Formats: sequence, C-alpha cells, structure tokens
Amino acid sequence: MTPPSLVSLGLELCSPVEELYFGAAAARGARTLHLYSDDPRAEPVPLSYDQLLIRARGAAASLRVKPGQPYLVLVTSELESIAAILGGMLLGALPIPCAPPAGLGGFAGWRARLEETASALDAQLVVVPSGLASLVEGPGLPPIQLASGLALEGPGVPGVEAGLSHLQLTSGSTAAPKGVRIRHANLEANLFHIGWRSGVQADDVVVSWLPLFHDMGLVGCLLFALYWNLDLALLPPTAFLSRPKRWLDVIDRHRGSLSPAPAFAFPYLASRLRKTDLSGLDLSSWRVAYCGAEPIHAASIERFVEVLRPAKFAPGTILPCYGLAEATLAVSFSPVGRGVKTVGLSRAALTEHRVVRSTDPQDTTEVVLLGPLLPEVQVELRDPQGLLTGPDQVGQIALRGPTITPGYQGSAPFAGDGPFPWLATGDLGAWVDGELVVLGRSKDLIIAFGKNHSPVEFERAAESVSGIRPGSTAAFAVPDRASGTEGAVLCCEVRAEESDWSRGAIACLVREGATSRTGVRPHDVRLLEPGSIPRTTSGKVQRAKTRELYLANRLTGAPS
Amino acid sequence: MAVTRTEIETQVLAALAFASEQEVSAVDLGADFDSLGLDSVGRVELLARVEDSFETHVPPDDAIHLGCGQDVVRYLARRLA
Repeated sequence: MTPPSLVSLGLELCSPVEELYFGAAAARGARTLHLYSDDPRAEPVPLSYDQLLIRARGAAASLRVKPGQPYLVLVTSELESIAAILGGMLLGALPIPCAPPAGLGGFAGWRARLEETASALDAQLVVVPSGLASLVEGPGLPPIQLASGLALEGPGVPGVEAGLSHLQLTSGSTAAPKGVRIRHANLEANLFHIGWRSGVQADDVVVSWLPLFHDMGLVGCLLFALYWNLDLALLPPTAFLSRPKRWLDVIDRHRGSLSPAPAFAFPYLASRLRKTDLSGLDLSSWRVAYCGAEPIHAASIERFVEVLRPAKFAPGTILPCYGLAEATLAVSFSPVGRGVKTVGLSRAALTEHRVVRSTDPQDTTEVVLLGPLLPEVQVELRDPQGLLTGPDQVGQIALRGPTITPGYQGSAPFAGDGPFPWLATGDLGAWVDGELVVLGRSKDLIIAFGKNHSPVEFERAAESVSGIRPGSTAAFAVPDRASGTEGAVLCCEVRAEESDWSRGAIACLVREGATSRTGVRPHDVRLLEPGSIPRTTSGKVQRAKTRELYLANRLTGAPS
Repeated sequence: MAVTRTEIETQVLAALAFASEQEVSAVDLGADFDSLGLDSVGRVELLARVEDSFETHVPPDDAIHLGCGQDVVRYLARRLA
C-alpha cells in the first residue's frame, strides 16, 4: 500500500511513527500550530504540520543520540524544543522532556533536580535552547546539544517501528525521579479514546499553556492535536502564570474549543481577573475544559464558572477527569457538556472505607464524579491485601488496558499476567452511579499546582536543618481549598535541648529549605517533641497515620 | 530614560510586598525569596510584576540567578542605567 503523503510539500510518510502523528494531516490537509511567546505584544508564529514534520525530520537527522538512547530536552514552548522531542520520536530515541527554569531565583535546586534526573535515567545528551546553555554546563550533566543547532530539515528515518515513544518524568513516593516508559501504542489508544469521548470535530481548536514536560501538555495537547490534525495554539506556561488572562484571550482569538488545565488553574485565574478583563471576551467556542491532574474542589470550579459567565462561558464546559502518567494520560472522563457533578458522602463512613450517601451537613463531604472509564480500560478496586472490594466500598484503584504503560525506566515492569499488566495506582477510589470517584491516596504523594512531589523531598530539606532529629520527619498532603490545590504539611521532631527561641528559627529554616528544594511553600510546619511521630514496629515513620493525627488535631506541637 | 536606583528599590519593594503578602515596611530586600515564602508560582508572578514595572524583559538564564530583592535591584540598575 502506498503510504499517505503530505501532498502540499510532496512528502511521503516513511515510518509507522510518522503515520501515527502526521497521518491525519496527510489524509486531510495539514492544520496549523500557532506558537505564542512570553511577550504579550508579540504575534504568534504559525507553522503548518507538514512544515513541522520537516523540522522534526531535521532534528531526527541531527540529534546526537542513537535509537533507544534517553536524552533530556529542556522544553520551552519554542519550535526548537518541540522539534527536539518529535525528532527523537521519529528517530526511535527516547526524549525526556524536562522543566526549564522559570521565575526568579532557585538555580541550585533546579540544577540539582536536573542532575538527579540525568543520572537516574542514564541520559546521554541534554538538548537546550541556546539562551539556557550556560545553566547546564559543567559536571553532573551529559554533553549539550543546542536546540537552535538542530537541522531545519532532513530526509526522514524510514521504517522506525512504533515502540517506545518517550520517558515521562513523574515523582513517585521516593525521591528519585522516575521516567514512565510510554509506548506509541499506549499513546495511540489513549489519544483515540480521548478524542472519541470528547466528540472531536475537524474544526476543533486546541488551546494550551500547559508545559510540554507534563503529560497533560505533551500528550493531551501537542500529540493530541497532531494525532487528530487539529489547529493548536500554544502559550508558554509562564505566560499563563504571570498574566493568566492571556489563556482566555487566546481561546477567544482562535475560537478555541478544547483547552485543558490542572484543577488549580481555574481558581488561580478566577482570583486574578478584574471585571473589566472580561469586557469584549467571547468564550462561547470553548466546549471542553478538561480538569484533572490533582484533586478537584467543586466549590472553586463553581466560582470560576460564575466569574466567567459574562464572557459566555457555558457551565457545562468543565469536564472533570481522572488520569495519571502511568496510564499514558486519561483513565475516566465525565460526559461532555455536563459540567461538575458532585455527590455527598458520609465522612464517617469513608473513614471505615465505606461509601454511604449523606445529606447531613455535619457529616458530608462533596465528592466530584470523574465519569465512566474510557473504553478498553479495566478497573479493579482492591483492599490492602489485594482482594477485590465489595460494592459501596473504597479500594485501591488498579488499572489494566492498552493505555497502561509497561513500567518505569530501569525498574521491573508493572506486574500481571495476560496481554496487559495491572497497574496499582496508589489512589483510593469507589464507584458511585457507575462513575469513578477518587477519595484519597494510599501512596505518599503531594500534588501541588498539578505537579507531583515526593514527600521525601520535603523531609530531606527539613532534616538538613540543625535541630531537627534525623529520620523523624513526615510530609504529607492536605486539601487547600483556598488555592484549589494541595498543601504540604511538614511534621518534624526537634531535639529536646532546643529552646523555644531556637525553635522559631528552626521552623523558618525548615520552611525556607523545603520551599527552595521543591518550589512549594509548606502549608504548615509543625515542630514536635521526640517520639511524637507514629512509627511502624520496625521504626519507619508512618506518614498516613501522622496525617490522620494532624487532621484530627491530635499532634502535639504548635503551628509555626 | 534612565531610572534611578531609588526608584528601582521602591518598585522592587512594592512588588515583593505584594508577592509575599506583607507591608512594604516589613520587607527586607536582602532576604532571599525562600525566606519570604515565595513558591515557584509566586516567583513567576514576581518576575512578571518586575518586568511590567520597568517595561523590560529579564531572560530566564539571568532571572534564575537572582535570589533576593537586592539581586534584582542590582541587576536592574545595571540594565537600566
């Protein structure tokens, strides 16, 4: 069979990987990528997908890595970065999209994380925008290749099979960075079902400010738009964080219809809008605002909907969903057009892992329904012994299906028999009215501003402060409804000889150290007497138990 | 038009006070951003506020090395002199 060609430029697709991401463009005429910069006055740079293929081929021809080799890409929203990622995929190498520096200060912590990533994943190269080269020079990082030095065109790499696509960075419950091994087959299955469940149409336009080192940005926006051949407008994440209204301006300008964001972004934007900002804005084209990546607080989303209503934002636009990088991206989706739907559950029953509806204001927690599963995804809810839970019981969510990735780079594959392994997500969930709800986590993880953080990072920062007892700290997440994200709490045992005066200084140093190391300001730092933090019989700190005591206000120690 | 160092200090102090939710009088320009409790999002917002105040752009490879208000003042004084 003759492969499809991008007729306008006379290009023939030469590999299964090219067909996966450029096949739709070849069949229907290439759509356009609109690249915005941080400068709010600058016009976006348009580039059609056939021209993007040429750039990606150029990158594939000039990247100094071999097929199968992992390499870091410091991802900005510039074309060079995108070409460096796609080029590696066309070559059969393994790009690892990484965060560039953003904002003021923080060089030491950022550089340390990059070095840890390079070492843990055995990266052979770091591709860097020319303006950032000075930040990645020196020992601890692999050789540099400038993104601006990648060839602008190339011959294409024929016959590259659709094996591994890239490594998605994520934080597990340990401090070491993990790279999820994403296969093209995982992507194809997920991208197809996301589009199908979104009711994707040929004239849909994707608008995104999400970082391309995050699965929601790379898979949910860039690869999604390529796979379905949809126009895509890309803003740098810093453009949204510093001037949030630009997200809305770009949706309005391009008549954006599909635009996702982590849950924190909605209250973040709403709290920074002035009434006059909405003047003349028309958001009626926005039909799906995927909302996930972290726990969703219904009240903060409702406020967002109210604030944006004068700009013709339809209440049903928000689409709560559940997913994780280990499942490529999406697992369950609410129905399009429904908006946020909650159910009141008894808090008392939930502490016993039972799901009981409640209307008693003293005993009710509102939980967001996250929709039915995407097709071909199987879920089992299991108790701590691994046995299936009964109806109306909370269990650990285990997933299986074609979107479940094979495992982490350098680690044993996810366990299981049959064609697909079972993935134990570490999330706790239940079924309500045939939809998935997520009710917490059995794994230790702190999700702030859509990003996963290991509690170990917070604990190490605390334990580097003189006066804190080594091995006697516990970090965990608590809901922070004000910001719409999670807050990190650090409980630390202090040496008994420390005075009240020095304890104040210690708490400040712990807070500073944790903020510097993780980029997240702790919601609370609690200094405790020796022996206050619960431990297992083998002496290991019990984070979940500490959290339980903290929330019940049964930990002794004043907040700092 | 050149901006004086005093003007730069005033603007940076105001931006820091806003970002750290403190009174201007309580902000120490020499305090590093960690001690002011600025997280990664707060630092991006602070940078944007500073850039807007002076209608200038601070490249990311410069910005990442500016760890306190005083660093920002020195940098801008050099750039805007």
